[in-house]
Amino acid sequence: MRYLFARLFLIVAMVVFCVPVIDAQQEQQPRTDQLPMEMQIGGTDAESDLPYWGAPDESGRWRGQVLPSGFRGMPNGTTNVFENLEYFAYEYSEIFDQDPGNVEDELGIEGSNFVGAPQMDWPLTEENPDGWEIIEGEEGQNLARRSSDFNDPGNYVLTNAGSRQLSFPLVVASDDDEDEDEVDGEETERGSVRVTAVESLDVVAHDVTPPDVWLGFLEESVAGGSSDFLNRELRRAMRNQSQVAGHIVPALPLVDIYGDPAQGIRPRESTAGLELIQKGSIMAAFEYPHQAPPALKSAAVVTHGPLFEVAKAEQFRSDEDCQVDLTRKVSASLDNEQAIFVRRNVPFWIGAATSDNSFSRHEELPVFDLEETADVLNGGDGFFIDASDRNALERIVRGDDGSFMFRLPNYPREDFADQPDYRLVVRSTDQVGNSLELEVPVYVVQTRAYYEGGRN
Amino acid sequence: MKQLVIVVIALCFATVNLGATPSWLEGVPVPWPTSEVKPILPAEIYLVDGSDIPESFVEDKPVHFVVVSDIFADEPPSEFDGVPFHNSTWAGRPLVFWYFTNPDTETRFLASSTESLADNEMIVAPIEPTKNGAIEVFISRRMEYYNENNELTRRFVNSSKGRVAEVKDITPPTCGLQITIGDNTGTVWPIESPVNMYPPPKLADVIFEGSVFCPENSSQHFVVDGIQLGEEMVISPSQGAVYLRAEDELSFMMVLHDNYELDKDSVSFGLSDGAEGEPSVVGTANSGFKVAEVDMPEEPYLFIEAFDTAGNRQLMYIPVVLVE
Repeated sequence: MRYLFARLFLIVAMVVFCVPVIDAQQEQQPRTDQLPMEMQIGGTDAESDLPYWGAPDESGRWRGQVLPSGFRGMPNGTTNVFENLEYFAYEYSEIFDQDPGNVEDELGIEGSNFVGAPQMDWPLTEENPDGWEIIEGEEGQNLARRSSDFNDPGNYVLTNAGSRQLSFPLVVASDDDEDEDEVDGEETERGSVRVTAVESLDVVAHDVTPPDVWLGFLEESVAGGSSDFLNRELRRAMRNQSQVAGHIVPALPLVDIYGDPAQGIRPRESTAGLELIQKGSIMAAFEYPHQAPPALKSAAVVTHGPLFEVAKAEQFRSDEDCQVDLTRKVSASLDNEQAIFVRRNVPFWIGAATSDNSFSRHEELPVFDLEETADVLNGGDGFFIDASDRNALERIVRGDDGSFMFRLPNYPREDFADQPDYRLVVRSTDQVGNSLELEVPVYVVQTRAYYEGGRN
Repeated sequence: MKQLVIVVIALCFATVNLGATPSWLEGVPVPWPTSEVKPILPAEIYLVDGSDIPESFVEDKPVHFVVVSDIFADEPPSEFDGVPFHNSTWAGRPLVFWYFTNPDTETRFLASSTESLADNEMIVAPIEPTKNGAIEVFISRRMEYYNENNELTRRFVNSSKGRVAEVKDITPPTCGLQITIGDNTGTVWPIESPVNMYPPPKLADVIFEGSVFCPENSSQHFVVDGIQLGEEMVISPSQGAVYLRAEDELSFMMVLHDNYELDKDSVSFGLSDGAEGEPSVVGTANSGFKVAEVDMPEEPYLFIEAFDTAGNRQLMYIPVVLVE
């Protein structure tokens, strides 16, 4: 019995005296070194009040509200934005806190302190058929907020890679000890752990830019001319795009563009190297200014060549009420100054090509026959010559080689008031519905003198 | 009542914590609630041969790493934290970013390789010496699945890992001298060029700027390139020299620089007899002198010597030419 009491006493003594000693020297190691990251684009109250088209802030930068989930059929989890607008991305992880308390809770340690500021980078990648292409790598801003604008439509991934070093005591004192960094009066050895957090967002920058349209005109009298030659030259001319500050500026060979968009554009006087212009005439309608905010999308139309009375460049603003499907339409109805002047009884070819910024295509626009004109009028892509008197359409002679010809003049209009007005109607629509429409007066002149005296 | 007091105190403490917004969180609407599940998979970094990564690395030396994580598996997770991902499939290859991070300078370097490597491999060269460096990898991979409403949903699965790593300094100091002779001055100093070259020896360009490097004391700026950075930095008289006259009095200031930590107490300079091996100091080290008061050797050189805290040594000799 006495032996039993002695054993019991020994056990109680061990519990009373030894357990606190064990507690006081408890070793600790983090149970994880990864934490979640929260990330979003937009979403503040101020941003939610912005129109989808965006609005200029006090510094003049256009900022927009993120588009609704499921916009244009995108899956859940995709962040939808417009190209050419600025958005703010935000991120948060507990490793960005001032105090390491929350991180300690996650890691299951105590007595820690952050070593320096967190590191955070926002690599932006674009998805293309070959895989991932890093658009922006290091920014070095070390901020949990990032200004993002997407110059071109496409599928992007915005990532935030965050990390922070944490120093912690390898041995912690028990709750009874006042100084947690000291065990038995000695400074404890400290360990380091690199805590990381990462999150990525699928961002689809939606196309809101109407396509460009180039039109070529060539008379049959030009040596070597043909419809195929014209279309080939037109595609070559479109491919012969120049780059300004890294951005493709279609039609640059045709125009001088001033640095200040307010000063506009003017036709380039020298067109050397553009064989198409030397042999024929060209009309180009293209996005200008390049990469303008969605609400300010506009196109410039420039004309060059002997079939035009003057070389001219003019801007047309996109419609302002096309809010239903959130696409942009630019309608350019040209005046007499940019009219096409063709000769009576001289066949000519018309070629039309279109390109769009959402995919790299330079393709011909089809010419519509008389019975198909309704398609263009109802939203189809292509071009045709329309007449104010629809019965007069039959007077337009269509050659087997695709040429057009007028038998009767209608210009000057006061001399041929009984003749119909002709107009070339062109429409191009991109894959999501942004469209460009052109209507150009066509005048049939009696003699060559009208245009040979022109400035072109 | 006691519990209420504790709750009130806790709330006050939480408010204080939220109010202390660090600069990097300014303008960020935190905390924001989220109901989205955030799938996170563990990851571990190894050397490409499968061995554990060492505790220290050598500055500028490329190291081939591999990260092991289920994010590279054929199939994505079918659930996380009890949330099921119905018919989940990967929708794209993993997006992988490797960094060498230096918390001392708050800088990060995104690694890239021209070699064709597996998705989970990267060659990283830690280009800054540090005791607190880190090798980090961040991986995101898009997953598509059907949510509880049978809607196609995209979500990124994430995985990351950071390993604390010391990076040992192997670059010698790049100290120089600013020389003043009456109204004329000149500064000569080396810069590592090309930077981050590996393996050693490292090279330097030695820059001469000022009128003391011209016999006529006209302003000069020239660069002697391809000098081996370290303890054999000898400039020949044909490459550049300090031109002295008998009546000149020289004073010096040191131009101190190292890519990590310079041992400032180790820096010395002076006039040396010859430039072979250790300096043969003429007169008093670490002070100016009058030409007329020193016993000018046949092959006089100015020297500057410096060590960094890792023990890398710089010893540079600049020729001295006496003119009438």
